[in-house]
Amino acid sequence: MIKAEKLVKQFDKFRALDEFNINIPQGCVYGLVGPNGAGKSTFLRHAAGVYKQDSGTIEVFGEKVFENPKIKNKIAYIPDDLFFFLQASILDMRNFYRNIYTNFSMERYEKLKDVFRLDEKAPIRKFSKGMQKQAAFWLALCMRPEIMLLDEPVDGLDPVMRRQIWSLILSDVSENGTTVLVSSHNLRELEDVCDHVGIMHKGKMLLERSLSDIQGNTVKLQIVPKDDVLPQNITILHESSTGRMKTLIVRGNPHDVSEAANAVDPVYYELIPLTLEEIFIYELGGVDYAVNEIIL
Amino acid sequence: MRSTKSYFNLQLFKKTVTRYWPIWSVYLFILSIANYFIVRESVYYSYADVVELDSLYSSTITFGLIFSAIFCLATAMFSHSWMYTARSASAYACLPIKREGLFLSTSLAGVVPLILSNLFAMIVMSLTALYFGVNAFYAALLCFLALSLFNVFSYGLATFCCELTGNAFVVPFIYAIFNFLAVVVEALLKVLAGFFIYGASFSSSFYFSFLSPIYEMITKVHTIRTPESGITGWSYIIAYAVVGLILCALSLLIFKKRRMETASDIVAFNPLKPVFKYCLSFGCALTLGMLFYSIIANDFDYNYAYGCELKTIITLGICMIIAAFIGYFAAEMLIHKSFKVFKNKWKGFICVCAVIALLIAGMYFDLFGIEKYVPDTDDIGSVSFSVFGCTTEIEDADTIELLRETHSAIIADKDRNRSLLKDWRYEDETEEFLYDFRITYVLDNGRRVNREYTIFASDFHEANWQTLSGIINRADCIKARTAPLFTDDIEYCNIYYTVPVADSSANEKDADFAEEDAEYERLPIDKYPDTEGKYIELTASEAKEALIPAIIDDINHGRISDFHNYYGSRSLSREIYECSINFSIPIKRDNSEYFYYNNISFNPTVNSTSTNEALKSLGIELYTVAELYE
Repeated sequence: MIKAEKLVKQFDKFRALDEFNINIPQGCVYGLVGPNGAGKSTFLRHAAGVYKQDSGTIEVFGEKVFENPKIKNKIAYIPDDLFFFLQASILDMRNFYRNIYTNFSMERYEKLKDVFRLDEKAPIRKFSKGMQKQAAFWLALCMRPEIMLLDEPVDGLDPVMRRQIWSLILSDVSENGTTVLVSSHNLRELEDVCDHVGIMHKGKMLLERSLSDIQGNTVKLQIVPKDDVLPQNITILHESSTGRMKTLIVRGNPHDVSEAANAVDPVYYELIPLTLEEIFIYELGGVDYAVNEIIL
Repeated sequence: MRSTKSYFNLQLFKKTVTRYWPIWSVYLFILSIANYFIVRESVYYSYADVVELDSLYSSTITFGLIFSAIFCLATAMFSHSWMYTARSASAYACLPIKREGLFLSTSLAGVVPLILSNLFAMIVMSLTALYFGVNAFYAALLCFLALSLFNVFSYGLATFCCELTGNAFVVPFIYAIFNFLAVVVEALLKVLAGFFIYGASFSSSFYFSFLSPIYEMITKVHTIRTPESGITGWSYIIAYAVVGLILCALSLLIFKKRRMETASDIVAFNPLKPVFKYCLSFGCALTLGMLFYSIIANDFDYNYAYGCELKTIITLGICMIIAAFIGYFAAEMLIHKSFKVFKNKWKGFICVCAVIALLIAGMYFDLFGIEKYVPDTDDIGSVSFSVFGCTTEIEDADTIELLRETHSAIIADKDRNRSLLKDWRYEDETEEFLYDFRITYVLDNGRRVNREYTIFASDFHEANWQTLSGIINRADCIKARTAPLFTDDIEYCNIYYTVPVADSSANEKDADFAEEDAEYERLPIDKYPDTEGKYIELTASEAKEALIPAIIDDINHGRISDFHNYYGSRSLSREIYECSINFSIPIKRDNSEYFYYNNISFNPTVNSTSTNEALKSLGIELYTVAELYE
């Protein structure tokens, strides 16, 4: 669906994408997470056909996306920094897009009026940031895209509107098989909507799996060991202790970790599923990410 | 326009046109109002239809040329403004439209309203003229075509400038540079060459002015006055319009390679970054360097006259290197958007310094052989040379060879001539004198080689002087210079002459007053204690009947010339009569709107027997300078 191999993009001396690989299946909601400067927005711009890579390949529906109007016609891209024509109202932008995107649905536009209660005739530049985001979603959803590329999409939206917009997007995913690639720092939100997650760092993909795989492969083990003997044959990503209680972040499925813990006959142990935020932090901690000390 | 494969997107075109309507509507408004007033003023201040059209052409073209240049820049900037911010560049680039479609739709949206505005304004012009009773439809059509072709060129150039940069503020600078760079650089190089190269000519004509289009069009495109009213320079207009189209095509090629991440970059096209850096370095070295030098030294005239000394070279070199430093690192800062550019960037600057040093040393030591260069006889098509402002054109091989030899001799005597020039004082009142010698070789390949020298005429140079004045005073050369006398082109003839006064006391009382007036040229006739200037004017027919045949006879027999060197030979005071015959010749140059008046003057001498007879028959008394004042 969206597939990038060894994608490289360099801005002067800064390597924004460094042999970046990604594979996004059709119909999935893919969350792209990573620290600032990881290359998320740069990749989204490649996927939208805005940037041309220095080397490597990126394909959407098996075709190059750069300079490919046929593919671009199927993509709705909502960047972090929105653009509307100066003085343009939602009606103006609608009229513009309906003549550009062949799938633009006026019927849907009318239906969504009830969701996005915005003044269609007012200049968009006079809207608040959140209202502008709403306008962007309104127009993007009317394009009936097969792919939605969302860069920090819900920044500035109130919780109710966030929920409504995600609901609209997810209904598109379930009804039409729309593929959504979303980059965000809001891991809590991604956890709720994504079925796949990729963690980026310094232009590379650190980890790319389905959310269930990720969450099933990393667990938090709280253990009070006998004679300070920790379980053997497990990969410990992080270790901390409070009194006799040790907290281990362990890579492995809960069953295997549980067996390993039982094997050392601890005084007490408990397996706790990790949040996406914790996984993100521990994975990045493994590559010397600077926040390591802050969170501990 | 719902096709995703088209190279033109109507929706984008319409959107761009409507977004920037204030720009082209201001253009339309000003042009229409201006044309209305142009027509109205033309009618009020004229006596016949034809004259009205002259004025109409002239005003519309002059106004339109400058106006077109400004508004084409503005519309190109606005229609391509989406490329200059990351937000808009991303928004446009992700649209399902090919690059060609983006380019053509936005570019056409810039220029089409301008051309339609021209059409509307010219209709206004025609209707206004019709209202005042003048049929100006054809004139309006010509003006529309000319103005629209100007638009095509100016817009093409502006679009090209837009593609080179990612920063909107830079576009006007690039546009101005492209329009005037060539003439400015050429002028500065000529000034620099004048410092070092003996004979380097600072002629006002520019070899590379065609690379400065606005300058070239302003100088080459004119309107014709009566009776064949119209616009000249169509070849220039059409050629530049074609260049405009080529620039548009080039812009499209650059745009296809453009990377959207270059939005806000000073140079948007990576291969041009070094070009920008080195052009700015050398441009600053030349402009700022010369400016710094003029502030520090202020001895341009001295250097031109006597050649520059070592301290001049060192001072100028330092000034140019400081200016190049400013240009080079300013370019680095602009390219990298950072002030921290002084690490690891010195190699390029050292190269710039080396080139400047080579340029200065090359000129000073004439490493390029410019100073000693005299074209081969076989390559020369014609030569024109000028002494004391008298210009003579030569085409025969023998005379050309003679001039080449004289020119070579002048070059060989450079050091002695300059040394003599330094020591010479006008007050010395010797037989020696200075003269300016300018020579232009027109080579068979069309190239022109210009040189000019200030020469101290004594000893060795006396021979050169005799050669040059001999050629100037040859009958065929005089005839070539005074050709209008042999046709019907003269307008009138003035004769000024001086006679002694019998009663000097009569003039003495007015002498002080008269001298003062004469100084300020308020009186055509001078009154001095012992002499009195007189004046006679002949109509063209009178001159043709009573005077011109006699002058032609003397020219044919080598007895009179339109050139005399008053400084060159004090003995001439006993040969030349204190009398000046001036013919006024109206000349209309091909590309010019106005008539220019050329004067042909003769001073009769004791040898110009036929002319003297004719003058005497007109009642003119002839006295030599010696007879009057010595």
